[in-house]
Amino acid sequence: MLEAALEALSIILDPSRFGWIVLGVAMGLVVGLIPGLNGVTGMSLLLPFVFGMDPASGIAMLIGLLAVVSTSDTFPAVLIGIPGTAGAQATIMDGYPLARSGQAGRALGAAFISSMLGGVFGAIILFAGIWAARPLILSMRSPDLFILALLGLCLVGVLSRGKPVAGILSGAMGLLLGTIGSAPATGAPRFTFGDTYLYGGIPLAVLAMGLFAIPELTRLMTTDTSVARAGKLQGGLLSGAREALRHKRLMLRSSALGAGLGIIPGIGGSVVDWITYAVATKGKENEELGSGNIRGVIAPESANNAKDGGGLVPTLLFGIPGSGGGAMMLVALTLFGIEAGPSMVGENLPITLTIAWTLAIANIIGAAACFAFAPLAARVSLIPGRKLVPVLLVFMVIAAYQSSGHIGDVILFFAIGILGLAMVRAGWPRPPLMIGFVLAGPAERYLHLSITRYGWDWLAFPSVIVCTALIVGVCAYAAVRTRKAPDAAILGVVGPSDPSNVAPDSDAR
Amino acid sequence: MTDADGIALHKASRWQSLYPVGFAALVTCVCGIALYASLPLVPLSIRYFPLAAALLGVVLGSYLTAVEILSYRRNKALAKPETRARAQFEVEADEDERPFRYELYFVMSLIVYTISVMLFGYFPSSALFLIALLKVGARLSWLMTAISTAACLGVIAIAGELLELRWP
Repeated sequence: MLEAALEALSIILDPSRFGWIVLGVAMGLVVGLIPGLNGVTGMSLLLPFVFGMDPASGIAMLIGLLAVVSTSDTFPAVLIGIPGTAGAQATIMDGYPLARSGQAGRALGAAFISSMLGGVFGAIILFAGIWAARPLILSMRSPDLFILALLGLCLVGVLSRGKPVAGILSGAMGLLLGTIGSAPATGAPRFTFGDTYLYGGIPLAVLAMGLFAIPELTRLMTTDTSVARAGKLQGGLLSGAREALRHKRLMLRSSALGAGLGIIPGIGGSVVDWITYAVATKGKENEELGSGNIRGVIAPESANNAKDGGGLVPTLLFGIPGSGGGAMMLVALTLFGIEAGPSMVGENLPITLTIAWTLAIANIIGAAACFAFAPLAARVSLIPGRKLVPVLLVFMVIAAYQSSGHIGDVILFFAIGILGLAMVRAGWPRPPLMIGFVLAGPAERYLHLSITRYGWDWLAFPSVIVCTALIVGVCAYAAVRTRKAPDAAILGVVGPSDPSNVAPDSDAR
Repeated sequence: MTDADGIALHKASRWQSLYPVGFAALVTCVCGIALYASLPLVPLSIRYFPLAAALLGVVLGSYLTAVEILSYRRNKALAKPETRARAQFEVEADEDERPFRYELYFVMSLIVYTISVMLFGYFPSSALFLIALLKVGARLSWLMTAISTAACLGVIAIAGELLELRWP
């Protein structure tokens, strides 16, 4: 393991690959600065362009982007009271009052250091997770992997925002969309309507971009996020950083909580943020939280970055993404021909470890860049989103068309985008669909393998029985909770009609 | 806001509240069609998986549609203007309605753009689409619209060369 870790570090420190990390970090910082864009949108934009690169470089770039979005999203949260992503919502509670009292620099300095240390903590959790779970994963058989994929999908569906049954149904839709094209076992075409374009299935990158990016761009276009009252960035970055370092215990506790919650599939960035904030408000020294207490910035920022490392543990080791960003990571691995699961601790162990290293390094570079370019970044965060939409849309069409160079890519891209919009309008979560789509291929292959190897006897395996019981329990819970859920549409809280100052969830759920 | 505007917004709001019911029903129908289409698939090994996913979709979709209908009927009274404070209703309807209408315009423009790409090619369609979005959507000046459109088209041309893309 130690040898593999050192080998992975040497891969990452290769100058060209390091350059890709820096480029990913730079893109991630810009994405986080613009309210309305999030890590998932950024990754979906980047996916078609990394296709064809060597896996270590492409993954390094994507992880670099994902890791620092939660660092730079603090700028709009602190300076103008609008979260760059939903993961920065709790930061506003104390960050914005600090900025209004002329201490924006202090709040940002504390946030950057907390984010950096939280991110490094998350990377350590990822290392530990790989080390601890390796024997368990290597002992798994195809029926275990099949049923675990279904259980993960159900959990993501239930824990995602919106009605739980809609989440599971969204996952089922993803599984169905994943079966379009040639069947993995025989190569026979399914649901292709006789069109040769669909023989290869729906291109992953097109689905990811259409589902996540189009609805966010529509939101940017239709809601006015222009800022009339811009906060000023005064000095005090370093004093904020020093202050954050004085709250070591709070940072450690919040990072541990963030990484722990990140491991649970379906827990979004905003949930982690608010839970950490709620935990941080306990205690006498926290009585003034909400009115400009630096502890209210440190706690959510540490957790926010630590959750990425935690979320990658189930994504890489079990193929069950913990969040929208994890789902995108799974998509990227699939594009590079790498299958999440046992292979990630077997023949692809160096790749897994490069992801952990990249996460740590990107967080350090991201925080350093935020310190260095804070005045410039503060100005970028004031650009109204709607002015960027046409340019981003053009890039997305290029990216979509690049998938197979067929006009079908562009048509599918917009069609899936409209499906994504419809899901947002109806209050349905989108990550389960993406995860279902990605898991469809491996799950069907595991099912085929199980039937070929064990007949139907595998249904009586203890692990399969336990997981099936859990799936039934989860579905029953979802059905009950859905009946009791208030009607979001009638209460007027669905989708893009939310007030514009609530940014989309960083996990786009 | 006049009474007529209020009533019009109320009607639009009611249509929006019916939206989750319609979407759940539509998804259920699609899953039903997929279920029907997967029945004749041969060999048997390629049938199990889509059949199970479609069946799950039909069962859950039917349940969700039923829940949404019940929920709509239960909450219908809440959406009536006379059961709410008038002022509160107007504010909520106004907040809700404007983005929805703009969203429809945006979606329509995407559809028109796609059809236009198929009919007239990528470059002329993109130029028109960009001008429309930048001028009407982003409210840029004519000069900035022209500069931004030219820059975007330049990027498309360069990207096409670098990535060896043949634009439709």
